[in-house]
Amino acid sequence: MIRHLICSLAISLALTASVVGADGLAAPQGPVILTVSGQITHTNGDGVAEFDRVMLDALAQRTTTTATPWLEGVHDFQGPLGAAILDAVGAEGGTLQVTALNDYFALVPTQDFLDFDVILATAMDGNTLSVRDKGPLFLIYPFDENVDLYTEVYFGRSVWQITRITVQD
Amino acid sequence: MWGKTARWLTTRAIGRVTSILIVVGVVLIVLTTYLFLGLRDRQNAIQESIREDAMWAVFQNHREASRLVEAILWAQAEPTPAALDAVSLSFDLIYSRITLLDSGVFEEKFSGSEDLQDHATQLQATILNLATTVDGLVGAPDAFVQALPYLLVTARDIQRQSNALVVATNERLGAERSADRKRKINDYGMLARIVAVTGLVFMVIMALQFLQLRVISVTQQQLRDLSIRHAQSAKAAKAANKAKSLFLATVSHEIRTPLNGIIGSIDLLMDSELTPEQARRSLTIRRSGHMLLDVINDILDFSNLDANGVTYLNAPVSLPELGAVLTDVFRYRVVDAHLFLEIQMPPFIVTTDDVRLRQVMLNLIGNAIKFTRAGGVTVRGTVRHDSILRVEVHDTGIGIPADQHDKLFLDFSQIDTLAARNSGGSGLGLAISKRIVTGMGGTIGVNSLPDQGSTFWFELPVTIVAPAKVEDAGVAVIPPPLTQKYDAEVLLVEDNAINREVAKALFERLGATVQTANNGQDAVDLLDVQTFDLVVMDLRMPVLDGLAATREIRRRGHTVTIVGLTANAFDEDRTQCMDAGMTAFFAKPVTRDKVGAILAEHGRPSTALQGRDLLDIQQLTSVLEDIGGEIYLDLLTQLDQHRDALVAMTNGSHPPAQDRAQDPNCDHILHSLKGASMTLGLRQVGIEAQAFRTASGTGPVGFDRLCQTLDSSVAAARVELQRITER
Repeated sequence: MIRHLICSLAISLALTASVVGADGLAAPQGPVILTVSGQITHTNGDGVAEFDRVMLDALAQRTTTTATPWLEGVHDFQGPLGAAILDAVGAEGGTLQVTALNDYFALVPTQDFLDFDVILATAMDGNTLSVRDKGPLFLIYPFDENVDLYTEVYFGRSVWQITRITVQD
Repeated sequence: MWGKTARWLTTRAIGRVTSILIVVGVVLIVLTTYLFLGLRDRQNAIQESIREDAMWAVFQNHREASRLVEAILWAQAEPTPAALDAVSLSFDLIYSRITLLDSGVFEEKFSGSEDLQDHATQLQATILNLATTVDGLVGAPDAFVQALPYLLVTARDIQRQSNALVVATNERLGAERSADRKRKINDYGMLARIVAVTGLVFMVIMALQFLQLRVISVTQQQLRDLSIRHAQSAKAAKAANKAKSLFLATVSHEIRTPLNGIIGSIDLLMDSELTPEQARRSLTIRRSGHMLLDVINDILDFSNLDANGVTYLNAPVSLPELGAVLTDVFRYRVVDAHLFLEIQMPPFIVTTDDVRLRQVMLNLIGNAIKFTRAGGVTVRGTVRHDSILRVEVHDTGIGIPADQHDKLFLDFSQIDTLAARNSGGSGLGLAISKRIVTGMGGTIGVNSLPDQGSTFWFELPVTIVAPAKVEDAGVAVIPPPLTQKYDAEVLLVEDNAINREVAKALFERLGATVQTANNGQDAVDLLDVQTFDLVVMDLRMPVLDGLAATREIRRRGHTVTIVGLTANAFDEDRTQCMDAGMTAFFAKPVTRDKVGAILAEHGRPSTALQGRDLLDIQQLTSVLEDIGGEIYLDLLTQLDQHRDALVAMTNGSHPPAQDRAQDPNCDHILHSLKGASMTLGLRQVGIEAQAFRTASGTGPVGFDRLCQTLDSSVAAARVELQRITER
């Protein structure tokens, strides 16, 4: 029992070590998927926090099962909680500018990440999202859990092919 | 104008129209709701936004295509790995949007989207085609560079196709928008019209309600006017009815007064010696008089009931006594009609209104006698369950057909038969009886068939108070002549000269000494100076009426017995008489029977001897043997001369009473009378004549008595003579 507990502790410490670097955030080892900039306290580059796939997978995950206006039927979306990412970068702004690969962007209130279990989905139905599948990151609100979210406001904030987040005032 | 409107537009019609309009209004509201819900449905924001999204998506597609062209141009200019990656990424971005071009997507979003779908399918095919090429080039930079011209051509194809899709979608979107708008305008127009109609309907309803209020108001005003008019007519009718009742009462009274004279006179006449022819005619007069009296009484009773309703005064009544009284009342009529009357009443004293009960029984028995030619009338009373008195009056008369039974008890209704017409009557008797019996909480009815007699019956609620002594007067038999004489000094107060004379004669016939007064004031004055045994007082008189006079007499402290003569036997009169201080009262007309009843109750039976007791039979027999019947009769007749002389003294100018005995002339007459009487066996006359000669202080009253004794004695002697001669 105690050995089991020590084991868990060791793993979690190791995970934390892999994420937290000089400024509290480890440097990415693989290709960078997400770059967070702006008003953040934890960085691993020049005022930016860069994440590779492993780092994102190390954050607190969630699976959201929901229907969306863009895909047919209900799907399981998995990925790190938005709140976990904000936590990891020490975000201090009220608005997030979420930008896609094609330069589309939406302004998302930081509060959305705290109020709803918003995730940046990395996989759908167990398959990693490629750019062709609206990956690598797809901002998913839990529409089916909260019908109030099923409006254009949140559809607009549901950015896919996310590559960059800028934390603003 | 409103009155005119109200005439054709009744509140009922308005109500009906309003109901219909309300139903229409409700239907319209339902329709409005339905339309509104439909509009809201069609206005589904999500659907619309998705359609907008589609536009956005195809536009984005076109933009990505342009960027792909740009990336390829960059790569051709400087074929670095980064530039090639950018081409690859740019293509991936286009590819990621391929799901939007899937078949069915546009169909879902745009109606009639076949051309859009064609464009999309074409574009999708081009992209998928390119994907195969690109997949083969990734990781092979040289081949990638060589393929760039081909990629550029294809990218430009994609750009052109996506542009065509954007234009087509935009066009489609515009068409959809305009169709939507048109539909919406249509729907809103429809909605507006329906709402307008609904509003109109409710405005009409309100107008109708307003109209109805006005109509109701007008109607109410009319009702008020009408009720005022009705009240006025009712008042007028009441006044007219009152006037009629008063007139009837007055006329009846005026008829009854002379009728009393006729009946009383005929009673007196029939007591005198009459030839058979005269006796028969007298009987006819008496019957007619009584019949007329019945009619008058009925009318008076009816108008009284009509004017005042029936009032009741319950008191213990002895049923056998009532039977006896009724037997007594009808005694002469029954005898005159050669019928029998048998009245059997149960031996109880019960609480009821005796006057009303008697009135009903008088009516029924009177009717029965009236309609019976032979046989008689049987009255049988029973008490059931200790609480219901049932009286049946059965006659052996002409009977009544069953279909006439209902009519019998109606006001002013007579059965139209020859017999009924011949029998006369007001037709009110049964109506009055019905009112009385019903008013007392009872029922009245008849069982009868033609030629089988009739049984009239009634039932009244009563309370048994005590058992009653059974009187032995239930069967009417020919009464003994009223031979009983009374000693009574009577003051008769009556304003009508004829009635006064008749009543005076009736009282005198029974031995009373009568003095008369023309009105109440005279009576009061007379009572102050003279003493009477009995005052008989009419109620209606000039100067001072009977009630006022009675009160005045009582006020002055006189305790003399006062008997009132009332017009009828109703409570009001009864109460008034007793309240005024009268001892008793009886209803007019004054008949021999009534006078006898009054004297029996309030007078003293005469001490004078009667019949054979007046005579010295032995002396009479011996004188008769000596002189024979004829001479005896002659002598008896001569006594009348003495009588006439005495009467002349009483009435004429003669000395005061105390001097009369000293009057030689008077003494002579008395002496002569005494001698003749004693010789002829008229002992009592002799004794009384001698008594006058020796006594002092005798007056005219005494002479009257002597004359009466003489009359009685002569009559008795004639009877005796007859008997002896027959033997």
